[in-house]
Amino acid sequence: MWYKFSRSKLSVIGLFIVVSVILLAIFAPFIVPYPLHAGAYTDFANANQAPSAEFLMGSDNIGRDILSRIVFGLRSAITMSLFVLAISVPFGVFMGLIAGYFQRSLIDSVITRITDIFLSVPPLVLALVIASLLEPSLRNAMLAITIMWWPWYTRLVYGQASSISRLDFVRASELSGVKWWNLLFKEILPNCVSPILTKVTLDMGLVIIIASSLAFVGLGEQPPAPALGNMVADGAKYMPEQWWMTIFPALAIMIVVLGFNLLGDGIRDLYSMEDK
Amino acid sequence: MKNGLLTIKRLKKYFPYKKGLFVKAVDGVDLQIAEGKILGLVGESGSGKSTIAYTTVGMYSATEGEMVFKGQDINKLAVDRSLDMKGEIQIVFQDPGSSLNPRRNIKQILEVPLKLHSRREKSGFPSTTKEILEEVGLAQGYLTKSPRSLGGGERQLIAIARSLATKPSLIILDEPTSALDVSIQAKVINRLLKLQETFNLSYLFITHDLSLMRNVADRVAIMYLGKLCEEADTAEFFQRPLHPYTRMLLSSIPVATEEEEKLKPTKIKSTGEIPSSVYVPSGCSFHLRCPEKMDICPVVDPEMKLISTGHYVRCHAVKPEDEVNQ
Amino acid sequence: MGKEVILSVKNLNVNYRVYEGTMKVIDGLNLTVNMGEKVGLVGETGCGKTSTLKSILRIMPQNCIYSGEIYFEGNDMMKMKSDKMRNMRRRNISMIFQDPTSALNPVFTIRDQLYSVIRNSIPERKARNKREVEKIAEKALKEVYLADPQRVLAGYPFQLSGGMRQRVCIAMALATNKDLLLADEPGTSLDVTIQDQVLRLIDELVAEKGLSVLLVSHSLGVVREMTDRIYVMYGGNMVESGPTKELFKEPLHPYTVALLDCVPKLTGEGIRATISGEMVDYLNPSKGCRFAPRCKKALNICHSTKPIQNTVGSSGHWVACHLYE
Repeated sequence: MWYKFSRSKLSVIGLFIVVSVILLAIFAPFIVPYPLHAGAYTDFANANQAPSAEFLMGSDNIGRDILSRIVFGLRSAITMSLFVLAISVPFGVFMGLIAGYFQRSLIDSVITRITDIFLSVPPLVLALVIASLLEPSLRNAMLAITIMWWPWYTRLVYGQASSISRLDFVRASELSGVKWWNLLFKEILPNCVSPILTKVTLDMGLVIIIASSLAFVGLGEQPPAPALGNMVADGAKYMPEQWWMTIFPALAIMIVVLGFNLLGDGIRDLYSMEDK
Repeated sequence: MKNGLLTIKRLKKYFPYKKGLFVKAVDGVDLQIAEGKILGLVGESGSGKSTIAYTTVGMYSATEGEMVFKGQDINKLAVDRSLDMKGEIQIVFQDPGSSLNPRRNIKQILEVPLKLHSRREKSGFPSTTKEILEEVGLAQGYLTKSPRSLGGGERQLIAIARSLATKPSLIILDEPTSALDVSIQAKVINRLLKLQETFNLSYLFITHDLSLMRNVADRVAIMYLGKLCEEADTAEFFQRPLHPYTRMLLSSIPVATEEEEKLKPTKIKSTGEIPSSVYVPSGCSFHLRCPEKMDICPVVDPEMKLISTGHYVRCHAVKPEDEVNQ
Repeated sequence: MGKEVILSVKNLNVNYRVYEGTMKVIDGLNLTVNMGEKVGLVGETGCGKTSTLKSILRIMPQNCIYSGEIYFEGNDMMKMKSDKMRNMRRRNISMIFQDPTSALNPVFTIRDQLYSVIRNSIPERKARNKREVEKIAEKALKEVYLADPQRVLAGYPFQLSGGMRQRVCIAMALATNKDLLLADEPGTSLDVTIQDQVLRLIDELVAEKGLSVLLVSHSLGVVREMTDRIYVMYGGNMVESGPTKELFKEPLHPYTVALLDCVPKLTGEGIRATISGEMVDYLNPSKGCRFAPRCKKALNICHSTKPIQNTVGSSGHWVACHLYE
């Protein structure tokens, strides 16, 4: 499997980025040069420093190390992505399985109508609305993103599950008396895994973008905690003279998202190769 | 006719098509399968043979009619049947590509029905995955294989093994070999015949292949547009095909030997198309293609008549033997 | 022989590059079709029938490596430039496919498709004349007994039944004067009574137009009823060939014998599973006879040396088997 995966260099690069980012996020307090700078720390003597040996990516307007804050920002972005997907994916998948298996039943139409409503509103707008109705905080941002995220999985699994539940092996299990929940989880779900896994990987990056966008407009993680979106927004005021305050966090977002996208493509190719 | 294992009476299954119109997939069919016997149900596409199969296992609910299995009414959907009843009537599907879950191995595939029906005692039936594999003639090594790595014939054997795991009395075979090459078909058919003998199974064998039924079935029934045309014991059926449609079918089969050529009715040639089962022709539905059409045929739909022992024909042109003799 | 040869395939090799290595599918295959002759090519799934057909038309997939000579009316098609090849296909060879549904484009009317086929297969000067094309189309539809050709022409493929679609395909194939007809499992996807009509129709038109035919099928029955001479193919090799009647009466190669035994007969002799074992592994096929691993009569030599064609009798019947040396 690794052999097939490694045949595409891009997917390997993606995997490398994702693994290093995750390691960075886990060991952030031990790796970064100034762990304290991730909080409400001020050191006006070193404010607005350009990148140097002391501050590899420069420092911000109150003298905090940008690199340290980026690593901690990544940590919170990844945690947030994982949290959002850990809730929305199982829920969305379950809804999709039920609606797909019980074709043309009441429960099918209820679930599909609800997802239709969610999907008809652009995701960022919906998240903005929800997040602004609530108090701005990391928790509420996560909640907002989670609420708008699950219908995509319902839609994805719905199509897959409805075509698979029409196949003979599902019929055969049904006719020998297998209960419907066993059918859903043991016969149908394993056949939906590859698109789900691909989408989860791609979505890790997407959630980071959305979360950063929320943070950019001040609806996500609140200062002084570091969020990549906040950092970009704060730094933007000092452009172009103190470019490092904006460019480095923005690059961090880009690289992480790119990493997840490349990995997602790799996983998709791997499964499509296996299905042949 | 003795009381059979499965008796189907006046079975009708209509599917709604457009406003006020129905696809009359099955339109009043009587069938009986005796215990330990093989009934071949033969027909072309759109004849309703598969609909009968699916209704019998409870995938569809019948529009009208009766279905009795071992004295119990089974005219209901599979979800409303008891677990025992589901085990008693099994089905093997046509397409070897989709009949097994590609994400599970053979052992897992066989274990599910085996565990579900482990409490029901029925002597002689295998109780472990290994024994089941042995019954269908596959080596133990297959247990860990994935369906993807198997050929069509092996997959069908596994599908048969899976249906065997529920300890059935009746297996409905929906064209189980039509997607296979003849050499593989021969293997699968031989295995099916052996299993039938070992476990005293009954088969409802759905197929479009008359030559295959000549060698497999105890009794053969022909369907055309949702109705039976002719039904008889196999030997009688092939010696004395009476319905014009049966003879047209027989004459159309491409055969591989001279001896068979002699058995084919020569005076009849296939003509016309199979009409849609939404707009079924009036009277006898075959009259548009029938070379022996009479004035009565487009008007009155003939009844199924007993011609000689066990030989039923639904045709105006065929008269029962006693009447002919008089 | 003395008969004029229209198609001859000499020493054809077809290999496919796949993930696991190279599949040596067709291995030194020879085949000839004489003028006005109906030749059948019969074998099971995966024996290389389709690859043979595709190489003759030179429509091979990208991962295919092939070599050999294919002469059509004296010209080596393997060496022909691709545009000349295309013209040759259009003007002189026609093809009938197994599945009439996928052979027709669902978004064009029958008229569009039939006209474009006709335009492409007649000289350009004539093709510009609309009346001429119309005339040919109408005649072609009449020949395949399609009642009401105007309605058929105006319709889309999905509006026709399977049998009618197959007739349209035949009309397309035979609308203009061709020399060779390649038929790939004609009628197999249709019901028996419809298939019978289609086969009779092809037979009739072929006789009328004096075409040469190469019919590829897995059905021994179809081949027996349609052809004068047949080739039996197994695992990318020709194992036996001869006049159809003789070959069915007296099959010689153990594979032919076994295959005939497997076919369910109307005479009801039961079904014998006479071929055990697995299909050839093309990644590393046996060095000797490719059927040897499954052959009940295999000798030692069968596993090591490739058998040559041994002629039996005077009618051109030969068999590639060590038992007949």
